[in-house]
Amino acid sequence: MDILKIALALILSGGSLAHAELDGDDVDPRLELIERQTHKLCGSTEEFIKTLQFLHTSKDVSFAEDASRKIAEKVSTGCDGAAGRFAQVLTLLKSVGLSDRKSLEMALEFASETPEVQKNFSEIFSKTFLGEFFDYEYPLAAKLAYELSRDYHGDPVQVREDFIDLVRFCKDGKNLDLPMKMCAEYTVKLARLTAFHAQGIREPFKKLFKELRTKPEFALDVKKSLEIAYNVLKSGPRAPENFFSAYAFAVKKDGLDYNRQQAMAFALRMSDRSYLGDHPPVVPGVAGFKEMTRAANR
Amino acid sequence: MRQIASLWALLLALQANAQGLHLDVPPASAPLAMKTIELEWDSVDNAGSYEVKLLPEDALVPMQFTTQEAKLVQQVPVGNYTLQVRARSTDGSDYSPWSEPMPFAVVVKELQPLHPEDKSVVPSDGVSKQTVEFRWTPVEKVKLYTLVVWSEEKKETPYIFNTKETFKKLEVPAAQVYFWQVKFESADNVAYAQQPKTFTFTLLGKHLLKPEINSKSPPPLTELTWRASPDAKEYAAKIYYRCLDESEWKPLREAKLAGTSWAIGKLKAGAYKLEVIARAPRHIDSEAAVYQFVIKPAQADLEQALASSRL
Repeated sequence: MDILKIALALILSGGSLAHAELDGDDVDPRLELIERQTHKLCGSTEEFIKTLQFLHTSKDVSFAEDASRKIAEKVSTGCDGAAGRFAQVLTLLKSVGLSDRKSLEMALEFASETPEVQKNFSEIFSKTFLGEFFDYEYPLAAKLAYELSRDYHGDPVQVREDFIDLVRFCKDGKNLDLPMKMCAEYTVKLARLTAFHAQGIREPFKKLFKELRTKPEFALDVKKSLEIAYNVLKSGPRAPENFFSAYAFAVKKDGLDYNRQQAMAFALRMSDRSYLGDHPPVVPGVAGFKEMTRAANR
Repeated sequence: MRQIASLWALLLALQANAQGLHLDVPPASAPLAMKTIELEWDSVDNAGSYEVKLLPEDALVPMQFTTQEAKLVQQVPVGNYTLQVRARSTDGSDYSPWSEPMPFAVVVKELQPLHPEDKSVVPSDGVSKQTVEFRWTPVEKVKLYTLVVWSEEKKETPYIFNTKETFKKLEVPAAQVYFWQVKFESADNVAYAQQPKTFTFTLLGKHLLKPEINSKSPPPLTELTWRASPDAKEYAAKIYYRCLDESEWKPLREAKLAGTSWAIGKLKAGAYKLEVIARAPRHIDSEAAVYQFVIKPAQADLEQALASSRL
């Protein structure tokens, strides 16, 4: 199978190179089609064999041979990497104490998802469920993991990295020192805004939070800083810029000459107007992001 | 003659206590209980007297009585008899044939316990001493009952009370097994020959307090512990398991423990329910203390499992 794939790739790349040389920077539609087609080529046999071998050797599950073969058939429809995704989700769920039936059902579901979606599920479920992190009960951890993986409409990589980074930030006593429950709730709230920040929310959040905490004109406590940071960030990527410039103008003698309270209210009002659509704002193309990434990954 | 023969058609309203065979066999050395019986039959024309023959079971020689009237009132030992009657003419020269033998039994009504029922378990009021009311069935013509009560632990010092009633209240320590008897004499001072029966009951102690399970055992739990329940001598512990996505608990293990901990070993990930019941002999079991918990894998263990399943 690997030999066949390599041969096919050589033929295809040889063809496209010759064409590219002729046309310079112009995109050859044929090349684009071939490129797209490449993502739709699947090593189904390899996935079948890997799945079957995994089921034969796994200590976590034990299925009859007939059932194992049927499972491998199903996994092999998930294209490249399906067996790996299946094995990872099955192992994860069996390790945390789910039944064979439910673990299998969910593992099959994620076998046919993209690698990023499966990775999001595994990472977010682990971080929310495990005692070392948010210690959520299974139903809530699973609900959140589904929300930010299978059912997520934004960039799965961004939300995963946001989530992991925010968990780390939250758990680090130097930054927040919040009770874990509060920390978990806040992280989840923020992660839900990732879909509306194309570059992710972690850096804008940390910058905003730090300034609210440390800048002499603000010097807010943790609770207030978190509250304001969320209220600003929910209005999209331009909101922090509007917030700070509005505050600066409001407190200036030759600006609005407001006191701190009035300036804060004005800054929040301005940041709230950072997006014309319904709140929370939607980054362009985000509604179709899942479909786009799915296609790109194939 | 014909009249004598018809006697048996009408014969013998054997009064009250002469029915059924309910007696225990008295010990050989005990005096026999006596019972007055009344036998009646239709009189026979021209009969001057009647001869009555009572043959006790297992006896060779019958008891014989002569009576002028067509009835006999006689005190006899309790037991099984065969009865025969014949008429004698006024001048004493002629006899009718003996009637057909008729079996009957003379019994003393047996005393039965009403409360506490024999071999019963009496619940506790939750105090160390408890009033128990002893009640029994009345026995005919008994003028005085003697209630004797003793516990398993104090056989040598029984409680003894005489009463004309068929009940008696007595305050006794809880959490004991008790035995009791009612002895009595009949109204005519004939000693009751039947050995009094011994009845028994268990008076439970107080309701044991529910043990308090220590919920702070860090996972993975290897030992489950609880706070002792006063007076408890044993704990019945049971642990159930269920997968996180299921609702039905499946019994996993159970144990009877003298102490307040259960070394259960490492538990696999999943949901658990521990039930602990405090127990003590002759005490009411405590309510089950229930503690539910979830065992989650450690991050390092989970990462290791995921690494080993990477294809």
